[in-house]
Parts: sequence; C-alpha cells; structure tokens
Amino acid sequence: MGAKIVRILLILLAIFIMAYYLPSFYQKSVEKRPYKTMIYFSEVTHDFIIAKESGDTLNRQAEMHYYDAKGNEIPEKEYMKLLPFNNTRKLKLMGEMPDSLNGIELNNKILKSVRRSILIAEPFYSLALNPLFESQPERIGVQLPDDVFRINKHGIEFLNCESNRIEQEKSKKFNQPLIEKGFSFPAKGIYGIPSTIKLKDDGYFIVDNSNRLFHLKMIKGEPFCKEIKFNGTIKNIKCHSSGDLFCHIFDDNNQIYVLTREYELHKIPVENPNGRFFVTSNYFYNTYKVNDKDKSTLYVLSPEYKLIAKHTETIDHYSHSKEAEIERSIFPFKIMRTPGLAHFIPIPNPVKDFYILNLICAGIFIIIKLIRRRKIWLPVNVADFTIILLTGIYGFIGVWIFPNRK
Amino acid sequence: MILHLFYKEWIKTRWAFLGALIIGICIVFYIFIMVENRMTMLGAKNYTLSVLYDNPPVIYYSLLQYIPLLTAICIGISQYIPEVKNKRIRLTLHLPMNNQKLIACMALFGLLLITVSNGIIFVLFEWKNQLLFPAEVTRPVTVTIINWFIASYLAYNYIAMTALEPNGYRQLLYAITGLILLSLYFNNINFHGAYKDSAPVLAIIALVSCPLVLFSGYRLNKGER
Repeated sequence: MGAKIVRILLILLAIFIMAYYLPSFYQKSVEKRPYKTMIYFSEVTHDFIIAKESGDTLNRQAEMHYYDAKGNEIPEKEYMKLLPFNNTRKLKLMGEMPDSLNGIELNNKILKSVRRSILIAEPFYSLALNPLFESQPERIGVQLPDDVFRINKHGIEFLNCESNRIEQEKSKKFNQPLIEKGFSFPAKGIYGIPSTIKLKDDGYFIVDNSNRLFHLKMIKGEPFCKEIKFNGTIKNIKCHSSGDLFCHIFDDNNQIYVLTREYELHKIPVENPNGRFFVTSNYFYNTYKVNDKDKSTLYVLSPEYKLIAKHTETIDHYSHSKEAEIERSIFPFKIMRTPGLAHFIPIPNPVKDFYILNLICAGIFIIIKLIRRRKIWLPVNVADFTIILLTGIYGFIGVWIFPNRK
Repeated sequence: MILHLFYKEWIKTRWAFLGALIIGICIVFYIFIMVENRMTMLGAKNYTLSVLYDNPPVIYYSLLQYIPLLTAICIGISQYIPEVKNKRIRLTLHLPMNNQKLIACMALFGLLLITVSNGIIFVLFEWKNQLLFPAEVTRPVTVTIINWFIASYLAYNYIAMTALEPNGYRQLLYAITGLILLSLYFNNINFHGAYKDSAPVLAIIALVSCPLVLFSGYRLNKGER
C-alpha cells in the first residue's frame, strides 16, 4: 500500500514539472512575433498618428506604415516631420528640423527636456536601507555618505557601513523632526534614488505606518522633513532626478498621481489603469500609454496635467492567436515563475475547453485497461482515472510513465 | 538494530561527509574573506551600496549555492552506488528487519547527515553574515540560501531512489525528473530574498520526495526487472 501511495506522489511531482515546462515549450515553439502598433501625438498637427507594422507572408518581411487620425496613410518622411521630438536626430541630419514650433523656439533646453520612462505600480524589491545624501553640497555632484539609514519601530537609525553599528548622535538629530511632524514608526516604504549618478539629490519620500507621506532630505547636514497631504494608500513611488516632477505616486488601485517640485499633486485621468505606463513628456505635452492584452490607449495631457485627448487601438497579442486557442484546449493549467523573481504562479486555464481532451485521455485509459482485462474499479485504477480526469494530458503522461505493477 | 544499521551507514559515508563538510566550511570562510577584502579595497560604503543597489546587486554568497548539493551528492553516492553496484544491497535486505523499515532507516541516516552538515554550514554563514551586514540584508539572504539547503534533500532523495531502482529505463526517468525538479532551486538570482514566495512550494516538493526511496526499495525487494 505504501509503495502505491509513493507512486501517486511520484506522478504528482511529474505533473508539477510538466505543468511548469510543457506549456512554456509549446508557446515558445509556436509563438509568432506580434506586429507592432504604436500611437503618437503630433506636436505639429495636435492630433494622433498611428504606426502599424504589417507583414508580408511571401518574403517574411515586416514594414511600418503610418496613418493620421483620419486613417489616411502618410509617408515616413512626413511622419518624422510631424513628430519632431521623437525624430530629432534624423530630422537634423536631413536638414528638416524646424527652428520653432507653435511660436516657441526649439532650443537645446527644450529639446533636452524630453523624458521617456516606464512606470510600474508593483514595488520593486528593496532592503529598506538607503544612503541619505547631502541635498545642497558645496561641490557640484552627489557624495556617498559613510552610513545608511533605516526607519524601524525605534525611529530613524543611521548604520555605519564599516562598523555595522548605529550612529546614535545622527540618528537622534534626524529622529527629532520626524517625531515633531507626528511620523508614525516604522516606515511602510522609503522611495528615492539611492545612487550618486544624478545631478542633485531630492532626498526620500517616506510612507509612515499610518499611510501618511513625508519628504525627508538633508540640507547642509541638517534634517528637512515635510508632510505631503495625500488621500489614499500609497503602493509605490517612482522618483525622478530631473525635470519638473519629484515623482509619480501609485495608489492601491494603480491610479497614478504626479508630485511637482512645488509640492502640487495632480491625479492623472487614466481609466482602468493596469499598473504599467509608458510616459513621454516634452515642452508641449505629457503622454501616458497603457497597454492591455488586446488594446493600447494613449492619454495626452497638457503641461498642467489636464486631459486633452485619448486614443485606443487594438493590438496583436499571442492570447488571441489560433495557437493560444489550441494551447487552452490542451493544457488544463500551467505554472509560471515571474522572470527573475523566482515566484511560482499557478495559472488555471480561464477558458474551460480543455475538458474534451481530459475526457478523451480518461477514455483511452479505461479502454486500455479493459483490453488488458484489468479490473478498473480497483482503488489504484480509480485513483489513476481521477488524476487523468482532473489534470488531463499531464496526468495521462504521468500515469503511463510510472505504471502500476502488481 | 537501528543503531547498528546507522553505524554501517556511517562507515560507508564518513569520508564523503567529512570531505564535503570541510569544503563547505572553507567556502564560507572564503566568501567572507572576499567580502572583507572588497570592503577594504573599495571602501565599506561603496561595497555596501553595491550589495544593496547595484543592478543586479552583488550576490556575494553565490559560491554557497552548490555546497549543500555537493554534500547531498557525496553522501548519496557513497551510501548507495557501491552497495548497489556490488549487489551487497541484497545482503542488507536479508538483515533481520522489515525491508521497508530498513530502507527508510538508511535514507533517514543520509538525511540526518545532510542536516548536520547543512546545520554547521548555515550557522557559520549566518554568524559571519550578521557581523558584517545589518539585519535588513541578513534576513533576505537567509531566505534565499535556505532554498539551496532544501535542494540538498531533494537531490539526496532522488539519488537514493534512482540508485535502488532495478530497472534501467526507470532509473533514467527518475534521474531526468530529479534534475528538472532540482533546476527549480537554482535560478540565476538577481536580488537578495529570491525564492521568498516560492519557498513553501519548494519545501513541499522536497518533503514529498522523502518517501520516494521506499518505492524503489519495494521494487528492488520484489525483484522487478
């Protein structure tokens, strides 16, 4: 009896491995590169421009086609002229870069103010130890201090990197303003740019135990602490080292806010945010792109973060392909790991059309048992049958790899 | 009888166990000699920042990754392979003891030896680590290395199961299954605290693999081909 139970364990381990590897092998072997669809907003026409990739199945080449908001195709050169901030280098080489736009001279400062970044609502791992830089140093640049700080239930503590001991005096000095501002220890999150590769330091944005937001920095060796009013629970903060923004703030609904250097908070009017944004900003517009599985939406905002326009395009994705449909009818579930993070995620098949294959596998199992004149109502066969019925192709392979012997 | 059996297993495995343990202890000292050297050469603050915020951060303990696995392989091979190859296992199975219990005791002894070796290496590593780094670093590092120690139990169980299996085709299947399962424990980690969320699943897999050796023992005892 013991051996039979152990055999079942062996089959379950095999099912685990198959659910981890087989769907991934299948997808990698049949998946085709999706054709790109990109949405831009022209600073020249103040309207959308769509770039779509289309393929030629004969010579297997893909090429980009450009369309204006009305759906009229435009030549590539025209497309570049309509987006001078995206194609600055090429336009300059072609001698087609305009000197001014909308009555504003396109000088180096304006051209260099273009920013592109990806904002992700899920907080990246952090060890909650950060160096507090001098924000107004005598020399230009950012100098690395000899200590790192943490904020636990005892308050803020500076740890000397060399001795691994707490610097009592400095800790006490920085603890005082936090206590005065009513900071509730320990900190839930500390967000900043803990790197010396930046022009100037803006300190850290800290969420306390009562979900209040504080700005902490060191000015000429002295602590600077300011509370920032924020309604809601903060999930993540992405800080910026330059430009007119301190940071982007995500709340627990993935709603996004910007905090300007004047401590003004603006809510970005994005519908159904999924926690991933592609942000582009220049002198004239801020754009936020949200990609879902089947569509991409571009929100265009004024420099004051007021909504000007939005446009949605359907996009190509593996989950809509025929191959994905076949995958869903083969595998009842799959197990994945997040890239790099080594977390297992069991993913049940959302479209329950795998049951046909499960029934076929279970049927084949019974037929083979009957042909071999085995008693199918024996507990061991009933257990095998149940495993196949529940796990489909995985269980079928597992049961036949590790057959039951008398 | 069990103590006598343990003594027999100890005679088979002692040199492999001691050899692997000494290598493990040397590696732990080597890791921290390297850390202290880097702190001296680069400055403690720069090195600490590299450990905390480089992308990917400095995984100073990566050498430790395969040490528990090495221990498991050394103990597993020395305990089972010569005995099975020379067919002396048949003599063992004729000892006045229930065969399943006997195989379980053999496996238990192997697991105990691995636990002793893992325990010594783990405690030594943790002690040195907390002297040099704050608790915020030590805690996630511990989460990561624990999974490497858990992997040693899975490796040992699969070695024992494969070695005792009388059928060559099944041996190959077990070895492949074991290798694929082991690969889950040795991802290319790029941050401290990796495996945090998958640790319970990995621990359950290792636990489930513990009785597998009984299946091979049962088939061997029955004289399956």
